[in-house]
Amino acid sequence: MNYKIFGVLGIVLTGCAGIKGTPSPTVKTEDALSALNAYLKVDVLTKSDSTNPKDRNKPEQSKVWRDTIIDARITIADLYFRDFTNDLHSQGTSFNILSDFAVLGMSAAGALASGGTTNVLAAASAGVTGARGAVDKDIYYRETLPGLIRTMEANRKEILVGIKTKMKSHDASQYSLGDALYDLQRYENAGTLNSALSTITGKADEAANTADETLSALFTATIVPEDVNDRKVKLADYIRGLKSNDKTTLDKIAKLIKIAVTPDMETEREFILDELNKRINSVVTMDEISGQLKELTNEAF
Amino acid sequence: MNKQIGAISTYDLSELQKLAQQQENYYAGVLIGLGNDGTQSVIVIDSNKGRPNKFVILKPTVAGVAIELPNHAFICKGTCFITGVKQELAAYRPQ
Repeated sequence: MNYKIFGVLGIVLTGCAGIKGTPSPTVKTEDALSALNAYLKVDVLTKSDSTNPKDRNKPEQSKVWRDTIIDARITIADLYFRDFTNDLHSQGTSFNILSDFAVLGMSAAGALASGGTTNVLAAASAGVTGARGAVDKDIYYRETLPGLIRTMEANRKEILVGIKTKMKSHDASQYSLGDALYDLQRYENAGTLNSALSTITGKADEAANTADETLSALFTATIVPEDVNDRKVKLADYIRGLKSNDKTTLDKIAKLIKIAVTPDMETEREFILDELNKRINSVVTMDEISGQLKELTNEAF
Repeated sequence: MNKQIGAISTYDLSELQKLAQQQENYYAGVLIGLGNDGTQSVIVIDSNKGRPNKFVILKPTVAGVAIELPNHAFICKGTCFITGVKQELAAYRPQ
């Protein structure tokens, strides 16, 4: 790294005190908070469980209410996160926040032996421990902070994908508002420096095991007796065999097994196959599903 | 489409193999990956490849090496749980 160039840039940028790093937001956080206030109150869960639909402002179904709450809270969390990262950028050259990073555990983060950011973390941490004044602020500002923000963004995205998937594929009884609020709390926590540092240090601690533990199962499947397996395969083949003009049948099956109907036939088919695979784990569950589907399909599975 | 499917950690080798075979049959796909998520075994099925003529078989690796099996094509290897203990396995397809 050419420190002389950064030094010159630093002097030049210091002279441009009026420049902002981000444009003015189209939606101010306080305005959004005001507009979505009804969905941020602590009684949303009580209203969700209420037998009186008027408690949910409109006679909305639980799923609609759940999704409205989730969308509102994601919007607010995203606005807060935007404000937070903008603040971080604007504070990036302040030595106080940088030394706070060191206290939060830069040394451990530096133990992860991959990526330019972590090497910088280790080097910077040594600098903080040994001689605080000797730390090159440009290194932190240009390398460490973006790395931490990327980690927060990655953690948030991973949780958001999980939430959106469950919203799409599960009704309110399968993915309750309570479950969603828990996930939303995780989503907010993922946008913190502590969370980002935990991710980095966690990776360092578990470096030896991660290679084998990068997989994540959709669900846990069970061995079934051969005769049940034959029936299960027949059912799966039937589902796969439904053509584009059989979308109505596919929709009816989705509703019967209580999963979301989606416009895209292939996506819906995959959701149905996964759900049936998960549910049919014995002769009892096979008989149950077969009985439910018989009227709909005129087929015996 | 790849399906990552969990299998309980207490299965023995023949049970895990049976589950993998049943999943290939159900999804009309082929096993392309083995591993774990820290608490259970995970098998990966590619459901776009069509049902195989012969289902997958699993064998333990020897000192990290997938042994060569006559008339079998090696598919992949990965660490799974066998009777609760992590063990590296290799997957093969009979030819």
